[in-house]
Amino acid sequence: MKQESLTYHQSKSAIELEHDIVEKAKKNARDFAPLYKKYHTPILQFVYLRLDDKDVAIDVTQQVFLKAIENLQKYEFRGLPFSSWLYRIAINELNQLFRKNKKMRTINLNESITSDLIHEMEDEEFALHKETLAIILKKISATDFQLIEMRFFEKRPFSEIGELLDITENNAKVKAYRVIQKLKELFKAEAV
Amino acid sequence: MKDAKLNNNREPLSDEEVKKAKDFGDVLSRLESPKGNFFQKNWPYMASVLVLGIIGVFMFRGSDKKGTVNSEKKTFELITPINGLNIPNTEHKVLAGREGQIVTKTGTIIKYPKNAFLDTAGNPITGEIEILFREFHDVIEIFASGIPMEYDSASNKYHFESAGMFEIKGMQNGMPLTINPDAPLVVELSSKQHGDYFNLYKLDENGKWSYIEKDTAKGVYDQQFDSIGLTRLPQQIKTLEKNAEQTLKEQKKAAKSFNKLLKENKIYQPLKANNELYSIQLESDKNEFPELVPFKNVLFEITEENVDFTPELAKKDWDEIKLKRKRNGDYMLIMFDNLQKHTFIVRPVLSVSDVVGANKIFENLLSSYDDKLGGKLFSERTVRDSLKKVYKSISDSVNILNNFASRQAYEMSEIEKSTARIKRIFTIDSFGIFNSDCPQKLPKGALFEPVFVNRKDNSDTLSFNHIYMAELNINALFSLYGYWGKSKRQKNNEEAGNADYITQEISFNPYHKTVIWGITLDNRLAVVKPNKMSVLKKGGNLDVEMFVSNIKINDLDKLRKLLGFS
Repeated sequence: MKQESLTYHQSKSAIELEHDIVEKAKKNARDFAPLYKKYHTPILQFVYLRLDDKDVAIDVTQQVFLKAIENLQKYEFRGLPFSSWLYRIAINELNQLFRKNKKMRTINLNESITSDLIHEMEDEEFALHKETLAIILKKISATDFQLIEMRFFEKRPFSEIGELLDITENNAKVKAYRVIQKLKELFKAEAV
Repeated sequence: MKDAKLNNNREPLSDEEVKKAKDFGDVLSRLESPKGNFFQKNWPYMASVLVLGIIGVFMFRGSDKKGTVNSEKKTFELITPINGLNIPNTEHKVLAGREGQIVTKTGTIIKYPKNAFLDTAGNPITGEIEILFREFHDVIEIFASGIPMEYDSASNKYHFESAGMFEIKGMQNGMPLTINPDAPLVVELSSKQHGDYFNLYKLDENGKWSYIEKDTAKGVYDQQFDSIGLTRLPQQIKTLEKNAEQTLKEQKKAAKSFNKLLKENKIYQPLKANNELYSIQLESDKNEFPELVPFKNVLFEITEENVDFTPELAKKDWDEIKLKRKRNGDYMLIMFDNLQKHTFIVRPVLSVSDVVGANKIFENLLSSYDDKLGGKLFSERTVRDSLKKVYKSISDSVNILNNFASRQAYEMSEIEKSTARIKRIFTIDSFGIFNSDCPQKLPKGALFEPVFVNRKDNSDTLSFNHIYMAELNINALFSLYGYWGKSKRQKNNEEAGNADYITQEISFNPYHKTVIWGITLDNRLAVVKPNKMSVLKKGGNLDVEMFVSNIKINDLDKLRKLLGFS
């Protein structure tokens, strides 16, 4: 399956069109269908990246859209794509799930992600001990890992990360830098 | 993440799996029968929430300063944080049954259509009613009113940055009214906040904000200028001035042409003498100057070109004074004696008293002159005179418009000083409290755990249930609920130090001018002013000195000054 990339920074007219659909859907839930169709796949991918169980991922995704429709009256148009609100609901749903069962949280690595992270840590030594990465990723906090996941697993720009985590873009960059430094130290400690 | 599972190079979901998972019908069915699924999955969680909720009510009742629900009246009653300080209502008496509008001091307009008001039974009413209205535009007014500024959106807590709020009520003979849903009111709320990122909300009977719709603001200047075409005015004036200039050019050309015709044909048109120029009385030769013959008391005015002329020259006794005509029709005065000769350009003029009669004579003569010239004289004069009229008319219009524009600009600047440039438009079908706001998260950047103490006496620790925070550059009031104050041990034991002070983290943006304040549990207003906030950015557990006011705060300006807003 091809990774469907959803352009975060949509055109003003696209965002306004979404807003019109949202307003209609507030009166009739069935009018939400175009937004479901547009965002189902990226939300499912977002959720599944963090889980191991396909059925659970599908169910959580459905719950995200259910929550969105149930709370649609509270949604305010802030000039941003509707997707940012959906992702936040997804983050909340996943956090609730992981609070009940921490073991459901999954780290899904591949060659590309591993290489990118190693490269970011700027130490040739690390490239020789790629398997250590998996060990140290388990040692950082869920919050720190979430940032790494959005940046290196999903390749999101910092502006988008800021919006999803409700921090400024600058803050996202600073935090990401600090997490990388932490990973470097953990890497060195592990290598020894 | 230590409990997290690890996968390496896991297969992604196939297109088939994604397609199969996409089922909007399933979402709708979950929506339509939520209770079955929800309670089945979540009953233990819900039961525990219910128990905790009940405990919470018994523990914390009385510490919630957000207001109370009056279940009988189905209203949310506000609690003002400072006794005796509030924003008063303005009462407007209007006639129900008829359409009309109210304009407040800030320029807010409340428009009501015909039959807009009903009694509580839903019957239309007529006669005099009172509309009670009050507005809240800045943080101080919002704070004083006790209106809650927190907003809950899909379990995310926000605080409102406000573009303006108002409360509106309708009464008749002391009885509350309602608004006819088929004849809603339109409130154009004056706002000093620019920006199109605000939304409209209403405070419900539970003290919660309900989203209405996105704000549609309009600029006051544009609205007022547009209504009388004032935005087009400068361009109109410019066009007219250009027309006037052109007309004047043509008029001058026509006048020149007419005068030339007169000169060439030696026709004299009477001119009034210029009081600032010297004129001489001379007897002219009737044969040489027949055009002057019909006119009595003709004077010869020394024109402006004669820079060498002095009045003494005219008073002198000259051997001879001659009047001549140049080829171009100009008149020349030559004065000479043995020693000197002076030549001056002159023009025949008449005094004020003689010129009126002379003009009548000229008009009578003009027809015969015109006949001799085949009608040319009259037609040239008509062109000259009609252009003169047109020029005058355009000039008058330009003057009128310029005066009008200046007056409007002055009035607009007076309005701007007291009111706002923006109007936020609400269509309301019920009375209540309405808001144009944008949800904001709490400011971040620095985090500290305060022990609040009196600046004048550090042993006087201060206790609060509610801390307010505002950034001076935005119109947002952040409310922090909890408890900061003496622990039970500290209350009972004088020796217990500040280590027994119960506190909670407060975050703020150290790069924004921030003020923090609260009403202590023993009813004193305590403030950390903006210039004292910078020390708090080091974070951690800190003694925070507050300025404590013992004076009674009974007006908003006093409060603004105390909190550093003015």
